[in-house]
Amino acid sequence: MKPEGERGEAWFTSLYAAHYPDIVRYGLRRLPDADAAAELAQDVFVVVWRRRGEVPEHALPWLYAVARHTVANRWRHGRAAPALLPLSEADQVPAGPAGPDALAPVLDLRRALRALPEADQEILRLVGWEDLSVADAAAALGCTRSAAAVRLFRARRRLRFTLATRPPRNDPRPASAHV
Amino acid sequence: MHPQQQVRDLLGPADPARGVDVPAAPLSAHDLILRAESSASSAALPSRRRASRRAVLVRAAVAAAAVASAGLVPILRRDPAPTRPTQPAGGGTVLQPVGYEIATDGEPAGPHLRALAGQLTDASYDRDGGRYAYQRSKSWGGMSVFSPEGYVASYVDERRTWTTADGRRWSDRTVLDIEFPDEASRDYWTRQTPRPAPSGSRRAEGPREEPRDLAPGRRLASGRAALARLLGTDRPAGDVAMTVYGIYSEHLVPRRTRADILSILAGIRGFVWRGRVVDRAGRAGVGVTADLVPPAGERPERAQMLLVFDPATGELLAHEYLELAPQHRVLHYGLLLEGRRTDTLG
Repeated sequence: MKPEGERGEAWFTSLYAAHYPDIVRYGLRRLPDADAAAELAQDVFVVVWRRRGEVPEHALPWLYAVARHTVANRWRHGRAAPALLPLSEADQVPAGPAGPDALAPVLDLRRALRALPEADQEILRLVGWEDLSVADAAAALGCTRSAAAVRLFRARRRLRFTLATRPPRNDPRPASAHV
Repeated sequence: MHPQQQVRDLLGPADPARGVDVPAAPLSAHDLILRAESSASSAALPSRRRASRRAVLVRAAVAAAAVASAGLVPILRRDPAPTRPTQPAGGGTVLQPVGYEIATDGEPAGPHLRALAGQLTDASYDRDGGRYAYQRSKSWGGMSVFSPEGYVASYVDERRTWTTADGRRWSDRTVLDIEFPDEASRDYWTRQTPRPAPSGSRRAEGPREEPRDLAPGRRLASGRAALARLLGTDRPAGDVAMTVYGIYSEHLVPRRTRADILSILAGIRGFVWRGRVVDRAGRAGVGVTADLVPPAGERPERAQMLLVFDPATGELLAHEYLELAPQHRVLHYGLLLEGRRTDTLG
C-alpha cells in the first residue's frame, strides 16, 4: 500500500492511459455493448481514485478484480441483468477477416464455453482472453494461486469434455455474420 | 506446451474483443477524479449508519460462530442439525464445515466402501416407475461475488431437473439466499449493502427444456470398465470425488451402478474413511474424504473433498469442497436432496 499523498493526478492519469483499454476489453467480453463496457471502465477508475492507496504496483489484476466486482454489483442490483456474457449469447464473431469455415469452430467454442459453470468460464476468460498468468488470475478472483490453478485445470478439462461431447452445428447463421 | 498458452491458443479466436480498437475514453482522468470526489461524500454516510447497527449483530454472531466452529469436531456432533450455519437476524449465514466422526488419522476407506457396496438396499427410485427421473439439488459456491479485497459471498442455487430415458431434460433454477465462507466476508458484505442480494427474489419460472445437443452426455455409463473410464480412475482421488458428485447430480444412479461406483472408489488410493457424518441438510450418512492435489509445480494446497453417502442405499447425499489451510472454510457444497421417478413435469 502507498500513502494516498504519493499518488496524485499524474500517477492516476498514467494508470488510466495505460489500462483503460484493458478494462474496456474486459467489459466487451462480458457486457452487452461497447457503451456498457466504457461505462464499466469509468466506474472502475472512479474506484481506483478513491482507493488509490490500495492499488498495488502491478495494478492490472487488481483492476480486473474491481471490474469483476462492479459487474457483479450491477447484476446484483438488476440494473443490467443478465450482465454476464450476453455478447457471446448473440453468437457474434470477432472482428477481422475470417471465412465461413473458420466461423463454425468459433461459435462451437462459444457455445461450449457458456455451457460451463460461471466459475469455469471466468478463469478461462481471464487466462485465455485477458492473458493473465495463473497468479494474476488468482489476484483477480480473490483466491489463492493454487486454487486458481486447480480451477483452471478443471475448467480446461470440462471445456474439452464439452467440446468433445457436443456435436458441431451446421448453423446457417455464420454465413450471414459480419466478418 | 504450457497449459496457459494452450488455453490462449484455444480461446483466442473466440475472443469478442479480439482486434477491437478501443475508442478514446469519453472522460479525462481529471474528470474522473472530480466524479470520484463528488460522489464519495454522498455515498459514505448512509452505509456507515447502516453498518453501525448491524455491527452489533455481526459481532454477536461472530462470537457464537467462534465458539461453535473451532475447527472440525473430533466426534460427530449429536444435535439434530450440527452443520447449520450461523445466522444472525438480518445478517447472513456463515458456513461451517460439516463435522465428521473421525477427524484425524482416518484409515483408508477401501474396506468400508467395499462392505457398503456389498449390502446396498434399494432406493425409492429403484422400485418406482415414471417417465421422468426427477432430481432436486442445492449448491453453494458456484455463483460468487468477490470484493477487490477477496471477500466472498455466494448464493444458494436450487436446481430441479426432469430427464427422460432418451436424454431429454427440463430444468429450472431458483436463486435462494446468500451465504458466506467466513465471518470477515459476511462482515464486509453486510457493511456494503443493506442486503447483499435479494433473498429468494429470483424464483424459477418453471421447467424449460435444455438444448438437445447436450443430450449425448446424459447417458450414464454401464459396466465397471466404462464407469471407471467415466470416473477417471487414473486421476487423483480428489478429482474422482468431484466426478462422483457430477454423476449423481445428473443421474438417478441405479443400485448396481451405485455398488460399482463404491467398489471402484474402494480401489483408489487417497480416499480416507471419516465414519458417521450429518450433512448440511441434517441427514445421517457416512463420509469419505480425498485431498485435492494441485497440478505439478503448484504450491501444495490444503484442500479436501468430502463425499457423504447414504449408509443403506449407497446414494450420494452431499459433497463439500473444503479449504483446510490457510483458512478453514467451505468453498463449495452440494446437496442432492431428492431423487425419484415421476410422470409429472413441474
